[in-house]
Amino acid sequence: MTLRSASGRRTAAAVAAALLGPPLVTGCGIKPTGVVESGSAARVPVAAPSRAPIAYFVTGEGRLVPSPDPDYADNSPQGSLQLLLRGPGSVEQEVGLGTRLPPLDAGAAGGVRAFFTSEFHLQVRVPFPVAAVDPLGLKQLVCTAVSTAGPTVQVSVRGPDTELEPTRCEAGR
Amino acid sequence: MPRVLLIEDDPSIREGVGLGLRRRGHEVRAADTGEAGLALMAGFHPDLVLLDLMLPGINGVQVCRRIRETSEVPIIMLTARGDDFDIVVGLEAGADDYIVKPARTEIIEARIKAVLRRLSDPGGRPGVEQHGELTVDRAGLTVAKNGERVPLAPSEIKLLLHLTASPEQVFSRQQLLEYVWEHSYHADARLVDACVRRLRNKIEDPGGSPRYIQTVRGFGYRFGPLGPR
Amino acid sequence: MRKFAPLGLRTRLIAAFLLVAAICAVSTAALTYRQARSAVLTQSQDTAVSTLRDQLEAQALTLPMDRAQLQRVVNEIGKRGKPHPWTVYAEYGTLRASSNVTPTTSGIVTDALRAQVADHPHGAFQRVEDEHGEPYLTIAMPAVFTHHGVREPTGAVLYAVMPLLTEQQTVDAMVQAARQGAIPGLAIAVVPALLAARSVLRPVRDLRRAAQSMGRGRLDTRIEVRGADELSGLARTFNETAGALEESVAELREAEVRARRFAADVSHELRTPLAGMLAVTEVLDEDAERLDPDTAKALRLISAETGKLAVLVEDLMEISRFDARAAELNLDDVDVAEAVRKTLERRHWDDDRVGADLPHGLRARLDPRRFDVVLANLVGNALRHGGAPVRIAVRTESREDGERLLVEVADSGPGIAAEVLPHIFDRFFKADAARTRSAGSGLGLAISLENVRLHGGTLSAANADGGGAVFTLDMPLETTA
Repeated sequence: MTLRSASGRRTAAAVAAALLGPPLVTGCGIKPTGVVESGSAARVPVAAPSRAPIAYFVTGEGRLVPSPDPDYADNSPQGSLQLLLRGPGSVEQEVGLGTRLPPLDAGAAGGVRAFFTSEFHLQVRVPFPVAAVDPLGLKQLVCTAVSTAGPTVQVSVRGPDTELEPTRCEAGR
Repeated sequence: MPRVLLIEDDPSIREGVGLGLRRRGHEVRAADTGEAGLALMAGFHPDLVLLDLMLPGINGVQVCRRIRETSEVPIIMLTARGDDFDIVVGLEAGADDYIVKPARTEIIEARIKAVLRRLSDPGGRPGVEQHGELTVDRAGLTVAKNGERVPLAPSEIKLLLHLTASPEQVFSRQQLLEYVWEHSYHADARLVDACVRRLRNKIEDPGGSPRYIQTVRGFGYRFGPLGPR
Repeated sequence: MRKFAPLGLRTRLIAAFLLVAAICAVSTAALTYRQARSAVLTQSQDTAVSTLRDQLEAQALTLPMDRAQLQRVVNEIGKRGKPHPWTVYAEYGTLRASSNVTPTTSGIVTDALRAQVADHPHGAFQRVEDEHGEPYLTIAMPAVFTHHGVREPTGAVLYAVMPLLTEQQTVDAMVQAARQGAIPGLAIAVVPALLAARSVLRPVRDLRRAAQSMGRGRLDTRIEVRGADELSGLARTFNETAGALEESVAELREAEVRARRFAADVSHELRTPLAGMLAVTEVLDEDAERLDPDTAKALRLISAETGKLAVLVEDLMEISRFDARAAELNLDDVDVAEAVRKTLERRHWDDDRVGADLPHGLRARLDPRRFDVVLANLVGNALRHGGAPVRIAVRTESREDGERLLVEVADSGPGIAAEVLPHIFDRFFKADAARTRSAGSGLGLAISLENVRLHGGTLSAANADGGGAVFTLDMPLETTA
């Protein structure tokens, strides 16, 4: 019967508040949350042989979107780059995919060269200046090349003006 | 001076009272038990008996009764105050008065004189009176009922004479104590009641309410009035 | 039988029990509720996310996707919402598709969700509320494909929006249940509170009653000892104390009885030697004159002291009889005025020293001998310690318990000192300590008081307004034995 004294009463009130407070404050009902990561992404089968060349185009938000062409004759890095440099097709354009690379006609696109300087190093030669190229465009080039060369390969892009540092294609671009 | 028979078991009281009374001129004989006292009665013929209530052997009440069987000698009981019940019993057994021990000799002397007075004083009117069936001889100090002599103790005679001297007058117990016993007004009224009871036993008709000695509730006693028979 | 005390034990116990019950109920309910709610939601969320994933994985995509393909996918998946029907949205580049006709973009899907999925190609979800406050689950599932052993986003992201109405209802039902369960729980909590209170209050009440009973003189009161807690310990202590008290009181009473009997026995035994001594005091007095002066003085001294001793012993006997409750009243009907006059006459106080104001023809029923003793004592004291003239006043008074006889004896002396007054009827109390010898035995007023009490009356002493002491005798006019 500790409710006798005034201080006893205060202690009791404090204890009650401490015990009852949190449950009451958290409230009832379903409350909104922040974004919660939950598991892996959906792995969809894509109708393209795994070694098919993929040209990477760019969305409005600046993200790379793969556009594989399984029927393309040349599935070498050179072929995939030519595929890329041809620019987005009608389907890509419908979907809003674009490119950050300067447009090339068929002839100029044919002037693209890609060859291995070593086992894990690929050099890409393009017929346009690379110094001022959009980094996103650079990514396009590298990832397109890697799509057929293999993910472990480093790519250095060389233009008539200069040669850029070798880079990799980062996963999850 | 009257001869006194003292029946008292305590030696110091016997000596003291005896001494005191002798100094006043009485002839005193003392007995230490009831039996001895009764034996002395015949030989000594006392004028008065001083009888202790608490006696070894036969007690004072029984001694009183025994004396009363054959004698109307005045008897004064000696008692300690705490023996109330025995006082009443002793009075009803025939004692005429009582003295509470310890008492000075002058008190004892006064009681003795009171009890013995009137006995020799014929009182107001000499002659014989007739009250109903009672014949009262004021000079001879005798009472007869229907011609038959009724033995009455001194206190009883004195009471009856006093009441019959003023028939139908009411006397309170206190007044009777004063006039008849010469006690103080405030003495023990049971003395009167006991005497009245004894008197009624002797003169009233058995059964029914008393005719001669009548109780007046709240006031006392009176003689008569004798109603129609 | 039950008094309601606002701050009493019962109320405090009920309040404490209710508080404990409330705290327990609320905290249990709250914690349980949180767990349950979380479980319910987690269940739904996990099901929804894996369903979306599984459904999407079941779709074969051709990259790049066109509107038709996107719409087809959305429609397919949109039919298969688990655990509840959902609306599926797809975003691919600038393409937007939805399993609903309109709108094609969900307003509920937040940019934060989009950004999360774009930066981290994993599934993600978020709970949001629409403009009406209804809860929804939004799930984002990006589609990835494997190329060269590396998982790459296809650029297509599916969003599912699922209402959590059912979950909301479940949660609401849980809250209701918690609330409804708590109230009977609280109500039931009152029962143990009352039981606990009773288990304490009953012994307390017993103890109080026992204490009251003992206070009234019933020293044999005992409490039943129940149980083995502190209250039963208290009850046991009470019983022990009561027993000890009863014993010591019995001892004291016995001691008092023995003392009184001793006093009675002593006085009784003293009578016998005194009777012999008293009978010869007059002989001593008479013969004293014939002897030499010293012997004469000695004899007279013995004579006088024997007399006083006899008075003392008589008074002691009287008091002993009162104490032993052996005193009896011999009642008679008297004329009050006559009784008073006779008392004064007998002691030769019928001169100017004492004046009496006596009603004529007033009869009373009392014990004349005792009345005489009382009156003589009062008048004697008045003459001795007060001063003449002494006035006696007799009158009657009607009271609810009957007619009373009042006798006042007033003296013209200095009165009674204030510190003496309360003790004046005490036995052997001498008002003036220096005066060690007085005419009386020191028991006169005590005997008078007992005599008056025997009649059912009272005797009181006071100082009169005009000076002098006044003793008032108040007794029934008709004493009944």
